[in-house]
Amino acid sequence: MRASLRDTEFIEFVTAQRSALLRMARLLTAGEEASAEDLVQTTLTRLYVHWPRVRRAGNPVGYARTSLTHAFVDERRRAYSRRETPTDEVRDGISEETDQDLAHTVLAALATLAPRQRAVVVLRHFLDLDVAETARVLGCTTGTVKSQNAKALERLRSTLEPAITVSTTTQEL
Amino acid sequence: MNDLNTLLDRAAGPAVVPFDPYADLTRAQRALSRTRRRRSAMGLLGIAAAGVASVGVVRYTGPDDGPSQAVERYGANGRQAGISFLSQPFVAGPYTFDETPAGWEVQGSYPEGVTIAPVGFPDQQRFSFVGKLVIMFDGNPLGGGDEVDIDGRAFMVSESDDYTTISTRTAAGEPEGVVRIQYPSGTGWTRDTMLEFLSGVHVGPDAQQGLG
Repeated sequence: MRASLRDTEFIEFVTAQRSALLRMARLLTAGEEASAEDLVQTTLTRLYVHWPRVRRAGNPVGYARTSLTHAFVDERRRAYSRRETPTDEVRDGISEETDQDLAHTVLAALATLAPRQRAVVVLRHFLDLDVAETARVLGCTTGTVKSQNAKALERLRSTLEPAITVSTTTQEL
Repeated sequence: MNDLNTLLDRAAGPAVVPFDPYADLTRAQRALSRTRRRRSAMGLLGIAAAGVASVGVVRYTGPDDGPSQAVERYGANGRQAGISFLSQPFVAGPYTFDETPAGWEVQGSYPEGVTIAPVGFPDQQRFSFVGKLVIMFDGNPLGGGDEVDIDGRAFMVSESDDYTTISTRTAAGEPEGVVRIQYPSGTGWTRDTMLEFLSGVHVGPDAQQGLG
């Protein structure tokens, strides 16, 4: 059976972008692998259903990132409970860190953030989006992005330091 | 000093993991199919609403015919052609239809026939037939064309560039005459979907033969 243009374009997009979306989802979910995979599947499905609109928008990657972020925030809004991760637990084993230990530590620190703060950190400091673009993705004001970012960085630093000192190349405010 | 971007990059996991894009495609296609079915069902509700607003011009019959209990059904050919039917009978004046084409609505009924058009069709004049589905009842000869037999009933199919007309004699117990359906090309209807639709048209005793 001949594939439709939608199918062909979708396969090309998935082939090129799925791994990157899964990495973003892994950070948003603070390393919950199953949740990250669910988010990616939800996002890709939404993209396919609205593919003509995605095509017209001319920025499928941006559309996917926004959709993924919204799916994450929506899902956490329903299920989120403020579970504080004990700081001592985060710091365990940092001194002899391997890559895997470091990843685990950073993900555990991300888990201490509220969902929207985590989303701000991922959008600003992982995807390197500017404040305005981050605000657009999250559907909030640039002021909210700045304040959430400041609180998130403060929280991350208090969780990770002094074992890991955090700096940012991205302008923090 | 650790740059946050670098920390996040390492925490995000491997840059490439094996996956099957066709699994995503299959999942997404199923979701799109479900979405389209829901939209078709909403088309039925739109027809129902139009019928209620038309002060009885169209009304649904039977105790089990409420929209919430409508059972969606697609004929194989109808699905390919973009016309889907819902097993939802409706009445338009003296004419009764066994099935409802999703996304189409009755514009008007009269003793000699019924005019049906896509929902939101710009031309709302019920006696204007361009681009619409028209069901007519008359006493003229059956007419020429390809003969198709469905359950022992003969249907004559006459095709032109712009329209196709299918005619059949009324069934036993109905006013004697010929019921015809005329449908425009390029609107998703095919000979098979229209034959299925016309097979479910019943002519009531108050129908009057038009001049044809």
